[in-house]
Amino acid sequence: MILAGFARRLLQLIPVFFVISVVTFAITRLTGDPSALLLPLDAPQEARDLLRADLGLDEPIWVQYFRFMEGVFQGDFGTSFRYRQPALEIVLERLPATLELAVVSLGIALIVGLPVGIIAALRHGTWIDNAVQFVAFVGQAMPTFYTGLLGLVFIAVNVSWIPVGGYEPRSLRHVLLPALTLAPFMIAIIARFTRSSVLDVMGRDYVRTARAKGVRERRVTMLHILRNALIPVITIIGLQVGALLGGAVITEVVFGWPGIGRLAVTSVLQRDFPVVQAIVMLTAVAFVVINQIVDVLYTLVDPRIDLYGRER
Amino acid sequence: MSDPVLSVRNLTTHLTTPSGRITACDDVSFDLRSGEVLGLVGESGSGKTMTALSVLGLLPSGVGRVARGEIILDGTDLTKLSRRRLREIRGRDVGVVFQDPSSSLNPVMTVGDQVVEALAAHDADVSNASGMRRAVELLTLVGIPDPGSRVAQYPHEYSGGMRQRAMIAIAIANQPKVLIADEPTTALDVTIQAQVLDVLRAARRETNAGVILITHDLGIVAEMADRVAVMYAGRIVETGTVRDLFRNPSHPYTVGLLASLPLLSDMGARLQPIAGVPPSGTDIPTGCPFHPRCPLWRERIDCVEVKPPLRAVGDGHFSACHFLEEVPAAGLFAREGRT
Ligand SMILES: Nc1ncnc2c1ncn2[C@@H]1O[C@H](COP(=O)(O)OP(=O)(O)O)[C@@H](O)[C@H]1O
Ligand code: SF4
Ligand SMILES: [Mg+2]
Repeated sequence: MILAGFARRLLQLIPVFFVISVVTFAITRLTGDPSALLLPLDAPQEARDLLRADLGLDEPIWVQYFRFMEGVFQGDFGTSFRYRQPALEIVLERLPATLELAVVSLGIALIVGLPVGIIAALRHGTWIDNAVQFVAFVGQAMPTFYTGLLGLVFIAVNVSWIPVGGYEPRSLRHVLLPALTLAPFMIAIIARFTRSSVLDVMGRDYVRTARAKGVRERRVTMLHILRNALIPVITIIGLQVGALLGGAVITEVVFGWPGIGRLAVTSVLQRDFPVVQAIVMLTAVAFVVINQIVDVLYTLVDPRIDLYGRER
Repeated sequence: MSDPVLSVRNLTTHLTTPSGRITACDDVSFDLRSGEVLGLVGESGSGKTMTALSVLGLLPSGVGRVARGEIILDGTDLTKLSRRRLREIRGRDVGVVFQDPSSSLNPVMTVGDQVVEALAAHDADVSNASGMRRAVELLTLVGIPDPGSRVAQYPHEYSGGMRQRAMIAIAIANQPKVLIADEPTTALDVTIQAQVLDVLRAARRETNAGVILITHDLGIVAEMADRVAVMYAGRIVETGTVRDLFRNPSHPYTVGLLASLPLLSDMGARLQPIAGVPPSGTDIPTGCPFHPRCPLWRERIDCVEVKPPLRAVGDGHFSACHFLEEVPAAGLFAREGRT
């Protein structure tokens, strides 16, 4: 049942992917001629022509696109101009670093953001609530490169066991600072959203009904307020995960983190079209899959929602 | 006559709002006996709901506060109880049915679970199985068809009328001494209203609770209530038996409410609503709060300066009007098309 709905919605998304592929393809080609960057400045014109023919860039653009899509349907995103390796392979190599950063930073954001938002709502109007709102506002307004640089200057330089940059797989030491750089923005978003959702539910009639039944206050909070208030928070978390999987570009660059974000930047700069195309297409797929997961989660936690995201 | 099960004395409830302090209930007193239905009527904003929430100890937190008065339930003054003791009484000795059944039930909990929760809140021995058996009994009592499978459904699978039946089942789950129904049919289709009132009658028979039936519909009062209290701007302006109020209304406001009631004998006659609007919370007229709308006022200074106290009109029949003796002969709010 769930799988059938899932598959059906994936099919409906084929046109979306189609549009994304056309747009990416066109935009990459607008950035200029890759051979200008791949060969020395004084290379003869014949060498350039040879290279362009070799990369398939001498064909009309619609033929290039057709070749590209033919490959995509067979799981082949082309060969990186720069590394001479399948583009997909290069992107997947970078995936673990991005995933690791995503999991750790989202974990921090949830562990801090959810309780802070809940407490602010339960204590609304008090100084605690005001403080949370102020800090969250600042946290959301602060640019990531700035928090990252602050972290570098004050923490990495002074705390000897925290490296200034670089990556080792599954090393808490290495992931901590980049994750802490990404977290404040997400904490702010999650806390603010959670606060307003909890506040909204606190004023609902069914919460008053629960109290009128004589239900203990702790149970009213956990079962009636939080259970309902956290349902829409799933959407916000889904959006965050989607953004993180595309690679945290600035953070990855600042900390020399070999993830998809940094790969995207270098590939664009080097006009490595196949890699850029692979990143964009895979990120789009990730977004869609996460959306599906969010929808399925909704059907599990909210009896009013059916598989197609409609209210029953 | 038996002692009242609930006795509200001089209840004064304040609400603190951004635009100032509202006196939502102003010196409200009434008695309620077991098995009796007291109709609490008045236009929207007159303080009916706040009176009910004061009794339940459920005034909006940080906003509402009982400033003065006593709420005596079976000999205990609820205004003096700790929050914990008050919680023990809510839902056990006082049950309540709110206005809008579509928002009053938790959407992600089955109806059965919500009934069981009402039982378990006051009896640690209620198990899931025994609670569910009792829930099915209660849903049967309020006339929900196929209750055995309906207990496992969520509120969105119920119709509006059925949700209100479920609310009544929850309200009477612990055999309360007092049952408060705050506009229980206002949000429902006209065709369903009579059915829900029947369920309310059955609930009263079953529990022998004293019922406070809040409504702005005098037709429902005539049909359901034994006694009536009419509220205006937070005050009770007239109280008595249903017969007293309909045969011998002794406050100009009550006369106005009756005049706006459509009667079968009057088909086609234009209704004469009371001119003007009820006063808003922060802006209550001095003296008799009804004076700006009162056809009997005639610019008399007493009505502007002195709050009229409730005075006896007959046995158990009171009116808060300085000139209540003039009311019967005054021909207030005469209907067009009738003499
Ligand atoms: N949550 C609230 N906060 C502030 N004022 C309120 C609130 N609820 C009701 N009031 C005000 O209290 C007064 C009495 O309202 P209420 O008891 O709800 O009237 P009724 O039930 O008779 O329609 C009104 O002036 C209303 O505006
Ligand atoms: S006291 Fe005066 S204003 Fe108030 S109802 Fe009586 S006559 Fe009217
Ligand atoms: Mg009301």
